[in-house]
Parts: sequence; structure tokens; C-alpha cells
Amino acid sequence: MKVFMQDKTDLLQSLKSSEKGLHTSQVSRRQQEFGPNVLEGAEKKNYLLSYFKEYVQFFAVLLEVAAALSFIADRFAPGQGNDILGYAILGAVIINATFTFWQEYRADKAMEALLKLMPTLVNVRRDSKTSAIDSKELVPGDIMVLDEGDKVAADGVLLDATSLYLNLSSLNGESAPASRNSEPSSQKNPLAAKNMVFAGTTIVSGSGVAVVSAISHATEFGKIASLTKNVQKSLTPMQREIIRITRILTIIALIMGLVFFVLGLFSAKGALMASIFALSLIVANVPEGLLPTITLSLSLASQRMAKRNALIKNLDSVETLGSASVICTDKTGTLTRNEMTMRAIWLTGGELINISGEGYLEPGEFSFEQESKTGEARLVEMLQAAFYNCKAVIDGANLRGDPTELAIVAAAHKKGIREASGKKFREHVFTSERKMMSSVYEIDGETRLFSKGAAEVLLEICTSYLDSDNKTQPLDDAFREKVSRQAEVFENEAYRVLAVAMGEGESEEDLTLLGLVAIMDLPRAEVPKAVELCKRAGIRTMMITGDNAHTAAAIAKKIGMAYDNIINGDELEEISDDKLETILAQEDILFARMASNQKLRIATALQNTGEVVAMTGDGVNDAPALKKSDIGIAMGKSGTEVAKEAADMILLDDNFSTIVAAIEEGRTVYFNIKKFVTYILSSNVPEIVPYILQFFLKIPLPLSVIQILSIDLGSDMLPGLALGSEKPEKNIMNRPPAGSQEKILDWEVFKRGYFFVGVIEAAAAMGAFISFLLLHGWQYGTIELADPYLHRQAMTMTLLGAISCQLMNVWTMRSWEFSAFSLGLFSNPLLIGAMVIELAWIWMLLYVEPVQNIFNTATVPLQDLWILVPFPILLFFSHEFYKWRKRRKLLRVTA
Amino acid sequence: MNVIAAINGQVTSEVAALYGLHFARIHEWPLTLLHVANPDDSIEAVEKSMENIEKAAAVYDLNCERVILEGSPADAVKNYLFKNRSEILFCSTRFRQRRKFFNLSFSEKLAGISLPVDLAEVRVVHVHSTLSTERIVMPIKEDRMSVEKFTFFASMGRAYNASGEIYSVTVTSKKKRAGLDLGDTRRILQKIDDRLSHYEQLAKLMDIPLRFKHAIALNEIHQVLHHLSHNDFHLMIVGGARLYNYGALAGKKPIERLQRCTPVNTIAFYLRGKTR
Repeated sequence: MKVFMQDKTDLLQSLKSSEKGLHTSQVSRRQQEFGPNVLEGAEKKNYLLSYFKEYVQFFAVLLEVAAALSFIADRFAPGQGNDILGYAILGAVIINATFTFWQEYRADKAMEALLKLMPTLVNVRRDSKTSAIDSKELVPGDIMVLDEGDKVAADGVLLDATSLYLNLSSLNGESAPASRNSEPSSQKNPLAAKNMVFAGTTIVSGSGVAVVSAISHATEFGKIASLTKNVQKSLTPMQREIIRITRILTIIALIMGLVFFVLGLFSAKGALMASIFALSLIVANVPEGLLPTITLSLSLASQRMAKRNALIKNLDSVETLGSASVICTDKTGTLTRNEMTMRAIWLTGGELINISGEGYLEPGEFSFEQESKTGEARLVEMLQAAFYNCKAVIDGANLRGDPTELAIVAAAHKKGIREASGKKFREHVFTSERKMMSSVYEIDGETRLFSKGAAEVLLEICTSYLDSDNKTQPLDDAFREKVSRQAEVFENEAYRVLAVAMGEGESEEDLTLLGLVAIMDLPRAEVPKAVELCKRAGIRTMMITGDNAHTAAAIAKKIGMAYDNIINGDELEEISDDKLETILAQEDILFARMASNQKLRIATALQNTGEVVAMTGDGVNDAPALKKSDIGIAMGKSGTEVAKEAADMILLDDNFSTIVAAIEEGRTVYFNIKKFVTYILSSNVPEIVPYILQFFLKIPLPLSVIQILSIDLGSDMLPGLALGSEKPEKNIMNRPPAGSQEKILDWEVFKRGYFFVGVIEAAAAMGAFISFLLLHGWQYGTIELADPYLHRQAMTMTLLGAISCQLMNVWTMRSWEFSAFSLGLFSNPLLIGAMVIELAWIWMLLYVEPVQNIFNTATVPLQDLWILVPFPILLFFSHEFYKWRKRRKLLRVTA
Repeated sequence: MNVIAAINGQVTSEVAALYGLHFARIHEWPLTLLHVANPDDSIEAVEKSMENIEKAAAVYDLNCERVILEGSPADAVKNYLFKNRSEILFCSTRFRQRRKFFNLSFSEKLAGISLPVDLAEVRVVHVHSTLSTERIVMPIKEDRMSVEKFTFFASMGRAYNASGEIYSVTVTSKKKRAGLDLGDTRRILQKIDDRLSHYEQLAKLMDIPLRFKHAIALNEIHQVLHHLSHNDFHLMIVGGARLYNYGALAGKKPIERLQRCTPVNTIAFYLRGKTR
């Protein structure tokens, strides 16, 4: 037996309480036993500690050791710029740590928003006296005195209730007030028990007295808070990729460093020189600029998304959107307009009338399917009857009232009906039990009654109808059957059907049936296209709605959303988690009659099958599912603050097609990151090769470590960022979800970055270095140059060799598959800006002395710079040729 | 052999005693209602509670006796337990605001001393759960579960005719988790399943509906609390390790953290024996 099943006496006895309330002595003891009635907020993050943790990551430690060794080397051999190198490496560490921290940590305010729903004061009866106390002092057994407007502070069972209505939306998402009474309930679920009140809900009207049955985390609201607080989100595909990339590149760097350290030891360079050499190689291999560039690129993308009505709260979500493989979406307001529209009318004379126009807008036509003499007059009469029964008002853009009534008013406006011709003096109100309402008017001295309601209800009280000659005919069973069939036809097409009738006098008796109206919340015009786009993009779309299966299926059909099966909320309860995972792995499901708390199960099951889930939600109780899913999407217009705080993205226009647009942007970012990872890796080769060659050949040092850092953290960053803001590739929505098959760092990236473009760049760097030296009288075998300025000029040539190739590389890398010529020279303004800055940077390296002193560069005569020209051109055209061959191969495979 | 329930007149101790009653019923052991007289507890309330438990025991024809001791509660109970052969002691525990080193509650003291009986420390958040306990969960870390703990869990399951779930949580780091694909995850969980399979057989023999669920998580407490809030359980059983009272200065024990925020009644089961 559950708490809400007990009668008043047993209930109070088991809680050792009474209607007079607890004694003060009992209260203090219970406060010790049960604790305070508070929900613990999110654990406070120690941001400082988290920030410092970034400095002990393996990647960072590696660079820190390199910096330390640079300072040690400066101590033993001062004046060689090792101290500057040390500071530069430390700078790289700080930049990386700061960007990683910025990306990973953000304040989680979902719990704060949830806690705002709890009251601070509550009226409680203790020792027969009622007083307002701090809600955290409530204990089980306390008697709560509830009044209109009160927020409820704990779960309780009603001992007494007078016209009590409760807003349960924070628990079940239903905005309609739920009536309450004090009768013991036989329901299984506490939320369905009418004698329960719950923490976090509000008394809409009436009053009552309830005994507290649970407080704090044990309440239903506490469970939602706990689900929201304790949800453990999976790593985003990008976080996984960054961990993977860092691991792979660190291993490569370490192995290379270790090999050359051992070789250095055997080549009698000495332990210190060998270790400095090894560390130089490690620094050359580690892409220091990668994380800052990714973070900045995601940040730019989030700004672009905001312009498309998708507000990104968490930077990682930008890329996760690109990996989304399933969109679980609400129906109302997201797929549909959340505006009821009257689309058809059936008159009892047998005429079917279609109505054009959308939403509550006035333009629209009534078109009869068959010719009718009296049809127009009866149509007006019926619309008037329906209109006279509505309290909703449409005044331009200002809408007030129930959506169904708004649809009737909009249809009446289309026919020019704007106000009632008589005076309303009585109303028979609508209740969910009666399923109908009526208004009584005095028109030209006569009392007239107009009714609207469920067809089956009105058919019971109507005794006549208007035929096609506008004459009253008795309503017999055969005609009732005919009306029911027509109502069924409308319902099968997911219309909400209302019957309209009128009569004489004040009572709802002997009415004359006028016809049926078919109303629907129409799909948004752009949704079918977006659904089709999802299909092409390999993204599964699943509707999760509180509506019945019939309506859900009809809307799915209208928008072209394919599904294999429909599962109702009750059926879902019967399915085990394992079974649900099996079903979701194989089938696309349409979820109907769902409670919001079932979304969390669906999201978890989909994630367990390996899907990347985007989930929409707007209610307080959607918060756990929004937090659990890979991309929680809250509705900007209709969403609660809690949902918005729990989500990763907010849809400013509540529109499904905005999700698809955001996914397109996410995919673009994913592939842009892939491009600039390749771009960054390409420059690693001309950084590594000079060291290896210097080790094996008798040549001077071609590139200093500070110059390597000037590429990684300087000249590569802006073009990299520009690549990050490239426009979507032509086939971006024809690919499978990003990350599912194609990783950022895959063999193709290595092949292009290291072994194709990188090799050309290394040849350019070394070609420039050796050619310059040979042109200035150097002979092979001379390691220590007599003229240090000449050495600096030669090193400048190596640096410029790498930078100039990267300048061309960024143009050809703009598209992964398509020709750079097809993209338009000025289509990426950021790239033009980056080019200008890069050229200025090269000029500074060549001619500005303070810059030259820091980066070990020197002025190179203009007549020597021609050496640099052929390599970038070679790189550009060879990569274009490479892409052309790839396209041809793909075409052949497709054919 | 008998089952002892410590009564202090509070509604929570009455609930703990009801759990003890059902445990005694299933093993056909008598129930001893034990109270140590002290100025904090009203003797009328204690007698009323004992009366209520006796009434409930009478429904099952269960022998019930009252024992009133005097002195320091924990010491008096310890002495009593050493002198009398008992199987298990049920007592309620209270909400723990913050970690204390002095002025420990009765249950906290008992959990920290060597006892010749098992201890079931009950944290009550729903007074009525004893009336309808349909689903019981026992969270464990990976495959760490003693036979004694399973036996206690199974006994409670049988007593209430409830379905049982063993929720195994594997804790991993963010980076390790990043490296796990679906195949790896399934292999890890299958391994745990294999190691726990004999308990499944045992449950079948005992005719207890039992299922295993797994999770890989970064934080076991958050994961368990999330699971409890997401599912409709009525009782949670967790295994406790006897630590001497001042031995856990380093931080809160997982049990304490669970008991603090649990949304369901929770029994911490401490096996008899010495403290660590």
C-alpha cells in the first residue's frame, strides 16, 4: 500500500502526526532524523584547481620539461637564446592550458534555476497554530496549509481540499491545472494520484491542507533535481578526438625524441646536447597551436550559428552537432507551428468546405467541394455559432485565449465575422468531463444558445440538423452514424474535430446540429525539406510527443518522417532497457503519448547503441534528458529557464529546421577542423626534417626551436582560423554524420599532412636553406659558419620556405575534395585578412630588427628570395591534382 | 538466533524495526525490540512504537520480546550483543549534515565498533515504503559483492516478494572512457556479468526475480543517485565497511554520501566483525 492509498486516520497514525500538527518537541527530533528540506545545488567547482590541472596534463608536462631544459642550457651556455626559447615554450603551455580550460569549464546553472522553483516560506500548522516558517524546516508529518498562489515545498497527501487546482508542469510538463481532492487514490503512480501535492508545484486556485510525506531529495521534484545534477555526460566526439590526437602526436613526438636522444648519445654530442636536440624534435612534433585554433574556430562558428537562431551555450556542442546521428524532437511548436488552424468544415447539408491560409492570419479562402445553393448562408451561420462561443481574441499580432478558439476566431475573421450581433448573458462552462460548452445570447429579443464540443457529446443532445435546403430535419440514428463517420475521417487525418450546434432557450437541450469543424496544428512549411535533408545526411529523426499515435502518425506522414513502428508511453514502460536498445538499434520509432520523464530513457538507450543524440525539450522535467543527451536543445520561445540552463543549445525560433541548419554548421566545423589539422601537421614536417638532416649530414643548423614556435603559435594560427570559418562543402549534408566513420585524425590526414604536403614543404625549406648557402659560397661539410649573419639569413630562408608553402597550402586546403578554383577567391574574407597579416609578418621577419633578434632571422636580399617561388606553386597544383584524382576515384566507385 | 531492532520512539526507528520484522519473518527467527533508556527518548513514545511493532508481528505469528537496557546506549547494546546470540541488529540512522568526530549518533557509534552481529543501519526518507516494497536495488562496485551481502539482499527481496536489481558501477577516468568504444564497453561488462553469474543462479534457486545492470561512470555516487532517481525503487541496500570512528578523516565514505542524498530508504549492511 502506498502513502496516497491510505485513509486519513491511518495516514496520520503512520506518520505519528495529527490534524493539529506536530508538537514542537517532535519537530526538532525529526529535523535531526530526516535532515533539512533542502535540495543540494550543484557541487561548486574549484575553478582554480581545474585550471592548474591543465598544467599537469602529459602534453603540458612535456613542454614544461622542454622549457626547464632550455633554462638549464642557457645557464651552461648563455647568450644563445635558450632563455627566450624557454619563455616561448612556457608561453605555449599557458596559451594551451588557458584555451583548454575556457573550452571545458562553464558554470552549470540548471540546478540554480531548479531551486528557484522552491518556496522559501510555507504555512504550517504545529501545535494547532498556523504560522509561516522557513520551508527548509519542514519535516514528514508536518501539516501544510495551502492557498491560491502558494508554491508547495514538499510532497504531501491532502487531508482537505476545496476547489484545489495544481500546476504540475514542473513535474509532468502539462500546463493545464490539475484538479485535486482529498480522497484516497487507487492509482499506481504518485503523479496520477489526485490527493497528492508535490514540491516545486504551484497552487493555481482553491485551498487545502496536506500532511508532508516526503521532503528534500525524496520528493518527486528532488528526483528531477537529482537527475539533473548527477547526470554524467559522455565525452563529446570532439573531446574524444582531441584526446586521441594528443595521444597519437605525443607518442610520435616521444618516440622520435627518444630515438634521436639515443643516437645523440652514441654520436658523441654529449648528454646535454643530445637531450636539447631530442627536445627540439619533440617541440617540433607537438602542434602547440592546435588547441587554441580549435577553440577559436568553435567560438567563431558559435557566432555564425547565433545568426541562424541557434544559440550555442557550450563550445564543444558546435562540433557535436556535426556528429549528431539522431534527432529526437518534440512535435508541438518544433515540427508544427503551435498555432491551430481550421482547415475544413463539414456542414450537415453534406457540403465539405476547404479553408486556405495559415495560423491565425486573416487571408484565406473557403472553397466548397460541391455546388450548394444554401451552403454559403449555412456556413456563415455555423461560423457565427462557433464564434459566439469563443472568448479568444485576435487583435492584429496580439493573441489571447485558447489555441483551438483562436483557430475558430481566425476562420470567422476570414468570413468577416468580427463581433456578436447580440448580448451574451450566460455561459455553460467547458469541463474535461462535459467536453462541451455553450453560450446564451439575446439576439433581437430572442434567447439563443450556441454550443461547441466533442462530436459524440453534441450528437447525444442534438435532436435536429439543417439539411441542404436549410430546413430543419430530425436527427435520426442513421444521420448520427453519418456524422460520426465524417468525424472519424477528419480524425484519421489528425484533425481535432469539434461539432457546432445551436438552439432556442437557455438549456443545452434539443439542439440543431450545424456541422463539424476540423482544426489542426499544421507542420511548419520548412520542416518537410529539413526532414528530407536529414534523411540524405544519414540522420535519424524520431518524434517524441504527448499526443496520441494517430495524430503523431498523421503529422509524420505530412512532413515525410519515416518510421518503422509506433510506441506508446504505456508500452515503453513495459519494455526493458535492453529490449529498448535492441529496438532502437534496428528501427526508427515514433513515440506517442510520452511523458517527459521517458525522454531520458530514450536518450540513454540511443546513446548505449552508439548514437550521438540531439534532444529537444522545453519543460522543467525535460532538464535531465537535455543534460544527458549529447546535444540538449531547449526552446527559446516556449522553454522554461530550467530547460534553457540544462541545454547545450537554445533554438531562438523553436523551429526544427534551425536544428538541421545548426547540424550543417556543426559538420562544416568538423571538416574545417580536419582541414586545419592537416594544415598544421603539414608544417610539422619542415620543422622536423631540418633537425634530422642536420643530425645525419654535415650541415649547419637550418632552423632554431624559436623559429619552430613562431610557425606553430604564430604564422600558422591565423590561416588555420580562416580555414575554420570556411563555408560548407557542397556535399556536406550528403555524408554520414561526422565522426561516425570519418575521424579527424585518420590515415588520410596523415598521408596528406605528413607524407604529401609536408614532404613538399620540407623540400622547400631545405631547398631554400641549402641553395642560399651554396649561392653564398658554403661548402658541404662546414657545420660552423664563419659568418653568423649568413647563418641567420640561411635559417630565415628555411623559415620562409616553410611559411611560403603554408601560405599556398591554406588556399588549396580550403576544400577537402573540391577544387580550390571552384570556391571563389573572396568567399572567405577572414582568409584574405590572414594573408595580409601573414605578408606583413614575413616583412617583419625580414626587415624589423627587434623581431629579427627574437626569432633569429635576418634580412635576405630580394634577388635571393626567388629560390622560394617554385615550391608553393608546386604544392598548390600537386594537391589540386591529388584532389582531382580522389574525385575521379569516388565518381568511379559511385558509378 | 534472533533479530534485534533498536527502538527510540521515533518514526524512523519504527520503520527500521519493520524492516527487521520482515527479515525475522522470512528466517523464522524471533524479533527482539531493544531500547536503552536515556533522557532524550520519551518512554511513552518507545512503548507506543513497540506496541505498533508487536501488532505488526502478531499478524505474522512472529515471537516478539521487549528488552530495556540502561547505561550508555552503544556500550549497553554492545554488551548485550556479546552476552546474547543474535544474528543481526536493525537500527535507524539520521541525516548527517557534516562529518563529526565527537558526539556521534547511536548508529554511527555502532558502525564503528566491533560487534558479534551484522548491522543493518537504515536511513529512512519514506515512512511508508515498508508497506509496499516492490523493487530493491543493491549498487556494487564492479563485481565486488560478498556472499553475506548478497544473502541479506536476497532475504529482503524474499521478505517483500520484491524484484531485485544488482547495479554494478565501473568507475573510470575521462581519458580512459574516451578510449572505450562500444565493443570495449561490452567486453568489460560481460566480464563482470560472468563473475557475478553464480549469484544469478543462486537467485534462481531462491526464486527471486533478479537482474543485473551496469554502468561505466566517472563518479560512482553520482551514477547511483542518478539511477535511483530515474527508476522507481523502494529500497536500496549498500554494503558498508566497518571503519573505526576517526579513521576516515580523509573524506566522506561513499555510504555517507549516498545516505545523505538518497531518494529511497537505504539499508547500509555492515558485516559482523572487527573494525579496520
